Amino acid sequence: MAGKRERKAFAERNLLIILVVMWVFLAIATKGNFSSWANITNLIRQSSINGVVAIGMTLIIITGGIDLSVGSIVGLSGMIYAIMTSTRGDFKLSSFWGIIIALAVGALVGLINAVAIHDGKVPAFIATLGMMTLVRGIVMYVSSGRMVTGVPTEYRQFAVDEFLGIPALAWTWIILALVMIFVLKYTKFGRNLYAIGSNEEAARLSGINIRFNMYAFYIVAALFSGVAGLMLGTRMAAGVPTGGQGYELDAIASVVIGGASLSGGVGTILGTALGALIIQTIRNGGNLLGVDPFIMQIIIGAIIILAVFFDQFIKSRKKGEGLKKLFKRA
Amino acid sequence: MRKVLVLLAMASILLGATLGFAVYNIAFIVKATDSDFWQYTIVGGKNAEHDLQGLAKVTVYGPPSEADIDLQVSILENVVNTKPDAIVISSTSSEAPSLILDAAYKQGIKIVLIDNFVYDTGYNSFLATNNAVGGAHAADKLVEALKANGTALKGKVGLISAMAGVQVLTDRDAGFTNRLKEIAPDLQVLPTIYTNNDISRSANAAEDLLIAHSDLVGFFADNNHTGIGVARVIEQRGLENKIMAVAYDSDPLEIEALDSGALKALIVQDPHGMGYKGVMFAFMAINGEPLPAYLDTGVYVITKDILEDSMMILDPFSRKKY
Repeated sequence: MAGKRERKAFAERNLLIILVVMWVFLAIATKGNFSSWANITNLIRQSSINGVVAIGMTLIIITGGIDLSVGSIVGLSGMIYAIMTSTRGDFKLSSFWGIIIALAVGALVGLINAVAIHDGKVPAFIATLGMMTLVRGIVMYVSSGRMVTGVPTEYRQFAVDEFLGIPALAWTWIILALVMIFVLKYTKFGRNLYAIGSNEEAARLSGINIRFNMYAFYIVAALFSGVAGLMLGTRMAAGVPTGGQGYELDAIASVVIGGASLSGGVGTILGTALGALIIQTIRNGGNLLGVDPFIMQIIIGAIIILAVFFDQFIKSRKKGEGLKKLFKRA
Repeated sequence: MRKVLVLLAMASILLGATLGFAVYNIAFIVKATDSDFWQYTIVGGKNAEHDLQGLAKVTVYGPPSEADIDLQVSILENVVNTKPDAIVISSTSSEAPSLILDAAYKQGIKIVLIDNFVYDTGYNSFLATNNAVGGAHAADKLVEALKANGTALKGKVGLISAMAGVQVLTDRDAGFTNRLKEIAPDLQVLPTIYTNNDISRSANAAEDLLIAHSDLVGFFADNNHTGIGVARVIEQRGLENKIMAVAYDSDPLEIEALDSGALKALIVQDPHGMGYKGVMFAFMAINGEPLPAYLDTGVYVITKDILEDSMMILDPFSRKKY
């Protein structure tokens, strides 16, 4: 257990170093454009939607599962909100009820995921792969595949709002991440998460209610995707049927770069947040420098692999194993 | 009694018309039924059927989604088996239906290709949008907007593309870049940014380019989602009088942006015309009329001042005659 905790701290420290090196390099290479306050706020806002999806993904990956349906839930919650509140629609509800219903629908998808995975014994990869397609189908069906416009002004305004010079979207991410860092460290929810992810059987024997907890993890994860869907909706000022498509990949990449292990039991919210920042830094920096977009894609792919590689390498060195052994094992 | 006689007379005339004149069967196969674009072509096709006043019967077929290449091919097989007089098809794949189409053509079924070309088959005519020309129109409109705004024709222009490797988008981008080079050589088009057809990522790209290039004067976005992303950034930062942006396609949010001034022009294809002309060409082919091998169905350039008169272009559903 101690080894794991040490490793986490290690991963986060390394990520922070990587991030700072990238930032310094970009600040110099772009002659200060990158480090301008306007760009820093852009960067955090641009990371925020993926950052929030990735918080939920972190929980699921710590359980040893995976959730491919997050992108579709992002699309669903944004669409449900737009349909419920649109001044041109049938419901014309207030923003408050729009948000409540959108999040409730998202949470329901999480619950169905959990039931399929825990009770139905369907592998998480398969269950959420199916759910990804199913939920996207629902989004298309309820919207007839068309954009839903006429959302309330305050909703659109949220994408522009700032507080203390930092965009509201960025605050949303920062606050949610801080809350979850606290929850995972100091609450039973967090302890159960790591316990179940490390060894489900041992957790069961020590009296943890696995079913209840698994339901909770998937529902909470889906809620984060729901929130991200609303954040995306404010930015688009409409419900867009393809909204959130492919977001699961960025989320998984952020979590993995952040040091979580796909075999479960390991991962932190801070690491994931740094992972999300690293991905967006590459995109943002690449755009500022005018790097060829295909080269950028190659770099992002390489960084995902390298991040995990270094993590493994450091872990094996800490254990006194050589690089040789690492290769042998792989 | 007289009423009954009149009715009987009318019925016999109708019956005579049906028996006396051949009604040609024209099969109309779209790429997908789930998108507005293909629904618009269907409206065009059905309007043509209406205008042919009973001389042709247009039957619509199509898979639910553009990803269903196999399904479209099997639909085509079934359609060929019903032996229609003509097939109007917008094929998703340029190769998959070649053999079936060619066999149908050799049987004497008239083949009209719309939107997407199919290799290795005989056909009577091919109707499509020349997207390079549309891109060139975008460049013209961008320069016009810059001039109207009193902006000097130098500096940088951002090009936001929805996806790499899609021929129609590549054509739009190349058409835009080449034309701009011609008419405003001091405007430099920045390396294309691809955004996976994601509105949020398109907005990110626009934000990044604005930071990186203080001499940026305009944007070209090559479809509706990229257009909305760019428009959002311009709107949210009140840059309507600083940054000129032109986008392809139309949807409610793009129209809103055109109205607010965030976008200066929309380049819009003519799916209704494509469907209408497709059916008319099929009818002409059946009657042995000579047809051009290729017809550019053209684009509309829509600006704020003609927005109100352009609704029939932006919403072809309003043109339904049936």
